[in-house]
Amino acid sequence: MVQVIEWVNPGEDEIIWRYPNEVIKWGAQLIVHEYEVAVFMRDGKIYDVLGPGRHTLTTQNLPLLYKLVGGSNSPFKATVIFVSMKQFQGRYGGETQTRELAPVKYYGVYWFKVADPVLFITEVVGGQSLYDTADVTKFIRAYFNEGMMKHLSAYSIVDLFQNLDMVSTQVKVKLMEDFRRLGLELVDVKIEGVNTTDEWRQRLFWIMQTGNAQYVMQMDTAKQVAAELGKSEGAAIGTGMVVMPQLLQQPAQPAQPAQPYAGGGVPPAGYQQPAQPGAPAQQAGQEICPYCGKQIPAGARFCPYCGHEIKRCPNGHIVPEGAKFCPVCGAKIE
Amino acid sequence: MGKETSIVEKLELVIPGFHGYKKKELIREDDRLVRGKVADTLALARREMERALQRCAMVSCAQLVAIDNLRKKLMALESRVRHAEAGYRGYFDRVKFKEEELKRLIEYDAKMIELAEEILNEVKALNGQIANPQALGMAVLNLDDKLINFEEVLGKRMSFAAGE
Ligand SMILES: [Zn+2]
Ligand SMILES: [Zn+2]
Repeated sequence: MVQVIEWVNPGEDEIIWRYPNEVIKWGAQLIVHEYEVAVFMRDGKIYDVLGPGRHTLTTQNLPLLYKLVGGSNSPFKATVIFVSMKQFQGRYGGETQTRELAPVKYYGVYWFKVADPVLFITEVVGGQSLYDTADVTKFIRAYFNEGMMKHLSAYSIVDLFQNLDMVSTQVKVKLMEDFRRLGLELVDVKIEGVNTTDEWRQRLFWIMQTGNAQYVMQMDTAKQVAAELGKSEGAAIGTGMVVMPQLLQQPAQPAQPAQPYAGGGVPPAGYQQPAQPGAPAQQAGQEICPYCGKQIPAGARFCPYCGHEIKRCPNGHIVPEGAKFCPVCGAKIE
Repeated sequence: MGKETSIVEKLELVIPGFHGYKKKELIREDDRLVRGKVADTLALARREMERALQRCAMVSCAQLVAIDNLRKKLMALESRVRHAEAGYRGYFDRVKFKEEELKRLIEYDAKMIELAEEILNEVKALNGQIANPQALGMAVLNLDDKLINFEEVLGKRMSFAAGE
């Protein structure tokens, strides 16, 4: 009977399959389906690779193995690994810290496929001795997550919440490079959500409202910021109140959206929308939602993007949840 | 003969092994060769696109998301060309092309190859303009045009090959 080597009915999530019989006969039928590649290995080393088609194994199409077995026509030993070239989807989720050490949770989806089966087998399958699809998939997910954590931690929390599109595209580009090293192609990444603690959300609010990350970060807690800013109605107390109103008027630093911060210490706020470089943080008729960071119509009671209720002081300024005083005018909040 | 002959000769030049659909039993093979050539060109463009994306991410250029969207579009096209997901049940299973049909198919092929090359050139131009926001914006628009153009020709060619 002719030996038939074929990956029969691969499952939708199966990325590799190892042919269980390691003894191969010359003349065996190798069936490689569209979107598949068959790789011949021995002792962890790759010899021959065959693409889609129905192949009769001969000395011609397995020249390297034939050479290895010393040109003999008797059955030889080899591991045949089928690699699927289809696109796969994976879900991820994890926790990391921003460059200010704010804790963030994130989750989403990514899509990938094998781009270079030889490199993939060398780096992942053979390199890690993972001959089972479940193990390979687990490895890839862990690798992805590790990269995600590392790259996200280079950003500030303001970038993450206000320029998520930009940040996620930049992170994706970096992850694409990481994946290429494994012979994989990262087709796309979607960050479906990022979240942080209440404390940091409030801090984020103050940073976005005042444009002064430095000042906000000097305070131990967001409550302290609120208290500092709300101590007296409009009176100058400490640097905070003197600096604040000016900051609200003047254009902040030129917009450099979502650029990983290279220096030490507390980064510049960089809270502007990339579309309007050098413009004041809050143009007439525009406000920033403290929950999702998007620009919302002035006076809005709900954010049209994230649906959050927008709390306001009696004078109409946006205030964070739980604030006792307005950060802009100092008015007491009922 | 005349015009279509010269197109065939051109195709034979850029696609080694191409028979111009003249042999019935090699029609599918010819089709595969043409698609392979086009997909390879698009793959080069994609690789160039990824380089552009990397450079763009490095300097935080404003077109990053737009460039990434074009990259995805390009990838989808490459895969459509390479694997011909539509599957051929029509013309390619028929006997032999009539003169008129053959002429049309070859024209589609030549157009696809031409557009794929243009896409590659456009991506190269884009990659050269990463530091120049104004020119980059134009390059993004130009490339988008080319991709739409290509998709149109590909669609026509595929439905023709499927016998529609
Ligand atoms: Zn919102
Ligand atoms: Zn107020």
